[in-house]
Amino acid sequence: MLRRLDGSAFATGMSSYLDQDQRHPSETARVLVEVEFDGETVLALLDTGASWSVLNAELAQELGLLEQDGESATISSRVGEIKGKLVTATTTLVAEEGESIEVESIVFVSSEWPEGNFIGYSGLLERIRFAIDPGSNSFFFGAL
Amino acid sequence: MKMAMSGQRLGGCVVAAPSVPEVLGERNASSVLSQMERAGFGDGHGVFSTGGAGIASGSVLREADVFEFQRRPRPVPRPAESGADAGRSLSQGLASRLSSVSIESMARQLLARDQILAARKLVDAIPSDRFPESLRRLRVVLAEPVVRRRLPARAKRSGDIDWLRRNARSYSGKWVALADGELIAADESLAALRRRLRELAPKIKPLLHRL
Repeated sequence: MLRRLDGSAFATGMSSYLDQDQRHPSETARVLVEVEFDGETVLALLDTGASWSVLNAELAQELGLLEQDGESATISSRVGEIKGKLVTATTTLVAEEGESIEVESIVFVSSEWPEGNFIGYSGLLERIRFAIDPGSNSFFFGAL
Repeated sequence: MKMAMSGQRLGGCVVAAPSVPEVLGERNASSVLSQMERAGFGDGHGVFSTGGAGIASGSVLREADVFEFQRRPRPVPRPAESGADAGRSLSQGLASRLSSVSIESMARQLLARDQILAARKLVDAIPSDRFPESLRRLRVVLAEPVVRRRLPARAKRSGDIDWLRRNARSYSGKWVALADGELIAADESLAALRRRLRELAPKIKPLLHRL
């Protein structure tokens, strides 16, 4: 696992990632990592430019998050402005090696969001150290 | 024009509260204070005096702050007084003079502009005993995420990821459930796929993905 120069742990978990979004094939590499949202294991696109983590509408519906009380919010995306809400969800970064990390996080859900899942900065990644190794398609992570 | 935060009593001596730019950042502070002034938080509320000229920019505010701070002894900052403590200091100098409704409105506007850290600092500045329920919800949303626990590693997914690379086109538009490098079930509906998985009860928790 990754360590800092002083020997302390930088990352405590590692998982494999998928480097292309098959729904939107392109030459630009993507990083889709294994994440568990409220107990359901899916792939989510790592997007440090996204303000919030976003769940696909069907998944949010299945997990009951669309019915959960939340804070109204609007996000801008490539498919336009999407109205929805910010809700609390238990998100686990799932490790193949080392430790998985369970985070009480905030995610954006909307019945209007047809695209895939994203993990964004606010409400989740801001408390996670992470690094990728494109040579082995490995995603390293650890809690701050 | 004269604008400055009110002084406050900390540890038995009167000190200056941190300026709004210090807490929110110059750009955010200008925006927030403009909104505050438009909302009527100027003369008479004791927060700052604008002399009727209005708040033009963060740089004007900075000059006024410097002027005000020169008149007041400023405490030597301690590490523990940065961040959240600065927010609490602000709460005594600013938030105590603003209604929670106004702060809630400002925080929501910041949130709508994706200025999440600024909104968080603003809401954190309010003592929790003054929170109405709606502001409490906003604070929950704006709070830093919390790592609850560490869990053991799960099944290796490299086989499932290889499967996705090889077979994605054949299942375009469908949800697939994968485990141990093999397809367990597929369906156009996630609800139907989950029902099927409950029947199959796979030993390894499947990875679900929509193609």
